Amino acid sequence: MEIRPIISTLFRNKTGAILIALQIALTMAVVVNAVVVIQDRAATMAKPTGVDDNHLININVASLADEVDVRAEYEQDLGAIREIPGVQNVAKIETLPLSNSGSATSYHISDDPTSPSTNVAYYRVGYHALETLGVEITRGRWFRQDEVVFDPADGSTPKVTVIADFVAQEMFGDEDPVGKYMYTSLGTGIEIIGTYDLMSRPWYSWGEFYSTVMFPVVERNAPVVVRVDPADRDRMIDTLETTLAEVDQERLVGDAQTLEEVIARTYQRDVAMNRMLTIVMFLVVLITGLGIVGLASFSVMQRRKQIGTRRAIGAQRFHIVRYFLTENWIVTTFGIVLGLCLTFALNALLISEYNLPKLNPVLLPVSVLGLWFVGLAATMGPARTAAGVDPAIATRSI
Amino acid sequence: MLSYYSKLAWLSLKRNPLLSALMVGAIALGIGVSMTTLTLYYVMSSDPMPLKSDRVFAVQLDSWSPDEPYYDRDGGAPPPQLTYRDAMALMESDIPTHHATMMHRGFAVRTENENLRQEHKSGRATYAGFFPMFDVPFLYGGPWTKEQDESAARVVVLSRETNEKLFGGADSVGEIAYLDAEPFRVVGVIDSWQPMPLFYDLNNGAFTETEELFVPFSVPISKEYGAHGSTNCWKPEMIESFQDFLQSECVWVQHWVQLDTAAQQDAYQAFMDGYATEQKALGRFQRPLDNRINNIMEWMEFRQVVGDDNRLLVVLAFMFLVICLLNTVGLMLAKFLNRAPLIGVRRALGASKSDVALQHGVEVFLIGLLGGLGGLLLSYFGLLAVRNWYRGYEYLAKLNPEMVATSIVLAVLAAIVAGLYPTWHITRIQPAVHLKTQ
Amino acid sequence: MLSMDSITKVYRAGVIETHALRSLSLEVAAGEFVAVTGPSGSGKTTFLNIAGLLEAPSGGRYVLDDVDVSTMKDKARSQTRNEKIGFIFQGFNLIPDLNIADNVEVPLRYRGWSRSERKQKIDEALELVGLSARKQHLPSQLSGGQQQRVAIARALAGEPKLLLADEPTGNLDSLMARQVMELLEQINESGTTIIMVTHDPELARRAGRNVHLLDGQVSDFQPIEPPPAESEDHVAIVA
Repeated sequence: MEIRPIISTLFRNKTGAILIALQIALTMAVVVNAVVVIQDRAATMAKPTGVDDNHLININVASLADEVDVRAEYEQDLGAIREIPGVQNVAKIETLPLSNSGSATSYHISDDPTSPSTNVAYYRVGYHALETLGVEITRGRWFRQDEVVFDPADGSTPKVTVIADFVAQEMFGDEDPVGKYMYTSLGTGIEIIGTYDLMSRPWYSWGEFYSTVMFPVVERNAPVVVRVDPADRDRMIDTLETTLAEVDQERLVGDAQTLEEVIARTYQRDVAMNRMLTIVMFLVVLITGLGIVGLASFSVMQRRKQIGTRRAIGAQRFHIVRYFLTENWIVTTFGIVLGLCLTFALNALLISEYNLPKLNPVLLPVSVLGLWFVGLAATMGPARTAAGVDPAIATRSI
Repeated sequence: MLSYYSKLAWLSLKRNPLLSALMVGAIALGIGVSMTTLTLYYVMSSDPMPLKSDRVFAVQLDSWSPDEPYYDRDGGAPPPQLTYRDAMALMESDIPTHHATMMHRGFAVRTENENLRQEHKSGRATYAGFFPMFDVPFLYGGPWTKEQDESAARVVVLSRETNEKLFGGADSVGEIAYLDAEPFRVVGVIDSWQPMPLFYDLNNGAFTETEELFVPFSVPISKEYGAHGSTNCWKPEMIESFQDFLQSECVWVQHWVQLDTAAQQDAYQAFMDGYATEQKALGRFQRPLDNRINNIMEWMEFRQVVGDDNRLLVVLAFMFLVICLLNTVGLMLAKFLNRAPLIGVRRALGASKSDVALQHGVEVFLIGLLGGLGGLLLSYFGLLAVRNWYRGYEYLAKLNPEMVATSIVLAVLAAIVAGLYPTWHITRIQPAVHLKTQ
Repeated sequence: MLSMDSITKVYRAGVIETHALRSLSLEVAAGEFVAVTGPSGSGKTTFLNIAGLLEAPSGGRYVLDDVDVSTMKDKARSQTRNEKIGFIFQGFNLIPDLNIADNVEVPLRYRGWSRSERKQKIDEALELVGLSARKQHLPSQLSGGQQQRVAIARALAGEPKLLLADEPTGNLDSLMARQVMELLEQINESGTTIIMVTHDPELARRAGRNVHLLDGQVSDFQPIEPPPAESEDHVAIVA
């Protein structure tokens, strides 16, 4: 290989090489850091909710009457829904994972308000919630029908709870939590009668994602959550909504949405961000690649005489191709070295300014290989043009 | 001479259509991507009420827990909302030109027209001062009265769209609309009104539409309705009734004041601090005195209306623009140098350095202009995509005249910056060098 | 050494055909110094390109060093150029970004020699042309005569059997031209076959044999040409 003469040639035509190297370096910094963001978002979005997302439909109901018999309404609504063929289960559940609306509070391990506490998001759910959501009991038991409280007075504390394994671990470590109590800050105890495997919070922006508990409470106007087969899901939405509207003409029924739609809305900013970053990444690589094609073409055009001379004194076509590829490889590699520094600098800046995660070292070799490939692929065309230069050009004057 | 150079520039672009397209395309992409992100950023950080944004203030009282501040950042800051009882105490002040406590609350709405289905409409419960304070334009009628504020009168102000839907756009003042099945008398219809960002209640996003109807704040209170928003509590206290909730330390209402003069602002600050000190004596407000009024821009800054994502995108987009410019510099340089022999001939024929510079400057300008137009087109599509991807960005992701002008200017500036070095380089060509054979 | 039999070369540009060579036949024995002369457009450059394997003939048979090269593929032609032929161009054709030693090294690199072999050859070749002291200079730092001597060193470094020179003194003043000519004679004496294309009759006369091209064929008629009016020598004399 003719690395030394190529380097000395590059040194005499610095500007073009420096421009390409700078582009490569900036491209690397942008792409690697964009991938860091994308991976971070994708990892967040990939976390399971713990419930059977693709089975569930949520329908809001709002009664306008002054007084509502919540228990009677519950029986009526669930009865009507169960009549519909294809319905696997149905329950009234205050809110759903990743619906972006819900409540959280802290519970203590003893009635002393200074004792250790754990922040949990709580779900107030009807009896059939367990099977509707598809959550598994891991220890103890689920609520009994008679434990469910309908439309409690503001602020009244539930008597029993089923908590997530995650919360059990946080509060009691490896001890069996069943039969233990957790306490409000006013010292009221709630008996833990069981634990379930996994259910995420209604939001992902703050707090531990899986720190949740369930209470056997049905509030007035709690949404109806229906479990259906995913294949039937989309065509059943309208039927479900109409059925509920017919149960009580006076109330407002609407916003029927699949849980997947609800989740998509919650994540829409992240999805959009990832799309934009992906597009920017793609364009950056495209522009840099095209820039290399352009500059290499000019370089070939300017060196036609020299290429012809090389061919005349015995260079084979592959020698010429190899020359240009080697030249580009050297410039790209120089850009990559610069790019590594820039990438780390940008990453450090983004970590401090935007809470970006640290970059995964695996990204570096991958991006190096990728950029080498882009450089060589972009140079291939002009290099082949160069190889096609007629050696007889050497004997022409000018 | 300029038209001659323009012609030369055009010919030069046409001679090498692929490379010219590459140069123009690189600038267009750089501008397109940066302008898309910049437009988002610009609208997010723009002043929603330029005429009086420095005279209208969001109020913060530090009624939070003695153990920890509401916000950790900047050494602690008071909560963004107020307790009901504190807001009611502030409403007693006669210092502000206008003031209003408010909350977001939806209603099921219908009219006596049986053909219209009952529908859920978003609403805002507030005081009469809301309308003059925020310069809300009225199409028909006007705000309700102070007396109606106090008596929880069943009156409603409709948005233009709601009035069109319910009453076909007619002057509906005096008509009856049913809100949650209860009759309300229409007192006013407002004209199209959409401050962007929607600064006065950031609980449900800063880029949402204004509410579809407005009722006195006392109405939902009398119906024992909480807010559709965010309620935050710190104190362990027994809340068993709505009255308990109203008297609790939970923060959940927004409070805005208009203070036109510095004297008013000072007086109001003293009033808030006086109130807090009074409450300290009653065992509340145990934190150090930290009560604030924030004008609209300060408020949006404090509430971080422009998200990290958007700032990050702007940073990356501008790095992208730099890459595109480096690209263009390289291509222009190569292109100009490739015609160095020709320039040598022109110089020998008597062209001065400045002639050569002007000739290339015109070409650079042309590339920038074309790139800017291309970039504008791309940002149009970029914003279209953003509108598709974000619900609630409909008002945000639109090209406005300022941004159109900015794109063109930015593109031409970018091209000129990119063309500076190549142009300088080519003017340094000695007439003689390239006349000899190589 | 070289045998051309009825070589033709036709250039096509659209429907127009230009016959650059019409049935050219020529034999050159090993160790000869042949000057090819002829007026502009007589086919000198085409002859040189075909002899140097830069172009393939349209018809006829060309045997170089006992190998039929008329139908060779590009790769073999490149290798033959590299191993058997040395070129000296009118415009020198040095690579401006490489220093003298690197320029001489170019053909050797394509031959895949080791670094020490290359270094030795470069030293020998530059020694021969008397430019050993200028190894690190760039072509632009040398005079025209020196540049042409570098080009000769480059042509000789690979120890070619055939040296093709295209107006080697065309861009040089008379003193430098004489030096270059002496160098070529010296090289020929050491056994290298040389074919030189020139329109300078004085130069041609110093060669062992003259071949005159006229209208794409070898002509038996040997005209005595007057010195060309545009020659720099001539201008110098008048001045």
